Parts: sequence; C-alpha cells; structure tokens
Amino acid sequence: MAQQVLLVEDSPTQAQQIKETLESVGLQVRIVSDGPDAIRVAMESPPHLVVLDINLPSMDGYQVCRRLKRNPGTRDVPVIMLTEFASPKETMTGLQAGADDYIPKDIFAGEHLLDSLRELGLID
Amino acid sequence: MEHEGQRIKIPPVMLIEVEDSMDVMLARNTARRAASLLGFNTASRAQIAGAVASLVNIILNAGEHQVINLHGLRQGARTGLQVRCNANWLATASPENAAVALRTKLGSMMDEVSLVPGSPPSIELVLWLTDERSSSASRG
Repeated sequence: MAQQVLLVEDSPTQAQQIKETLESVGLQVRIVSDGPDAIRVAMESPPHLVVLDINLPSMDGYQVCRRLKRNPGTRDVPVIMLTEFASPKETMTGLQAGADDYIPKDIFAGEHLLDSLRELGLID
Repeated sequence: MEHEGQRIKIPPVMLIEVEDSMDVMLARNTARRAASLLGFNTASRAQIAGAVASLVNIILNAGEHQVINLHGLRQGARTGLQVRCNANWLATASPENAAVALRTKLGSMMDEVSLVPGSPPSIELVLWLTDERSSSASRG
C-alpha cells in the first residue's frame, strides 16, 4: 500500500506542483488548504508524512506543527515544512515547533524534498 | 563533558563563493549537502543551511565578496561541521562587540560562533554531530 502524505497548502498551483513531485515517487497525496482541516484529517487518519506550508488561512503552519507534535496520535508523524519563509529565525521557529525538516521554496526545493523523504525512510 | 585534542579537518571540503543574493540559495544547498555527507539528520541540515544563509546575508550586507569554507571537523571521538570565512569588514570593529553581534545572529543555530583574531579576522561556526542530530538515529 502506498504511503499516505497529507499536503497542507493553500495555493492550488503550488499544491499541484508538490503533489506531482510526491506522486512521482509513488506516494499517495491528500491536499487540504488550511490548518484546522489539516489537524482534523491528521487526527482522524494519521498519514505517514505531513508536508506543511507556513502561510495558511486561520492558523499558521507553526501552530499546526505544534498541535500535531503535542497530540499522542500524530506526534510520530514526520512533518516537513515547505515554505517561502526562509530566514534563519523562521527556520529555527519551524524546527523548534517540531518539524523534521524545513525546506525553503527555492530552485532546490524538489531535490531537498526527495532527499528528506529518503532520509525519513518514505522512499528508497 | 570536556572535549580535548587537536581539531582535524576532514572531508567533505566545500567552498561557496558569495557575490550576490542568488548565492544564498546555492549556499543553503551546499551546506545541506555537506551536512548530509557528515551524517546530520534532516532537521540539523536545515539548521546548518539556515546559519550559512545568514552568514551569506551578513557578507552581502557588508558589501563584500567572500569565500565560505565548509568542512568536516574531528576532535577526539566527535565529529562536526565547520563553516569559516574571512571577515575583512570586521577588521576595525571592536572584537568583543562583533563577537556578541555574531552570536546574537547565529548562536541559536550553531554550537560555536567565534570571531578569530587575525588579519583579516575570520568568522568560525561549528555544529557538532550528536546522537540527537544524527541521521542514523532518526532512522531508528
């Protein structure tokens, strides 16, 4: 059975691009576009991975990550933050929120995302 | 725990030429690759990449072109990643004030942030590979 990824991204264009990258390595992707939905879906059916944007409506990605990492049912689910917010301070905020990786959306994002999936044992 | 003994430079050895803002991305990518080769986990790679990106911004804000050196470091049984660059723009600054400013900017991301006296002085950053930061530990 394919590994399930919960992709939390409010930009349909970016969501589609990331989904294609994840599906290209055999992962099954479900997209949600805001924080509360992400928490609800992850708690109902914990995925193998959460890929999380920071800039989301109603609740930012840092808050979503903290909630997921505090909840016993989802705390072991790896979280990769994939974001336009790339300053060192933002990076540290994401890592301190419990993210397993923090990847800026730049030209290397796809490469780093696949590298991270490999490291987390989600792909060969 | 005290760590004694000489620090030895080990592979990988990588260079980043910093000339303009495009180099921030390249620097982050190079730092992640170096950290990966040394066995740092994904979160630590992101942390090192953030520190190197910050150093690039410091260089660019000073109006400088510099080369950042990244290499592995061994001291006794421990391994780390060292990041180093010349800091010509700090040659006339108060070493104490400059060191405090560097630690304020980079201290949350790296274990060691130093301004090494010299002509020119150099900035040295080190992150040590601990069990918590190791990719083999994160794979369980």
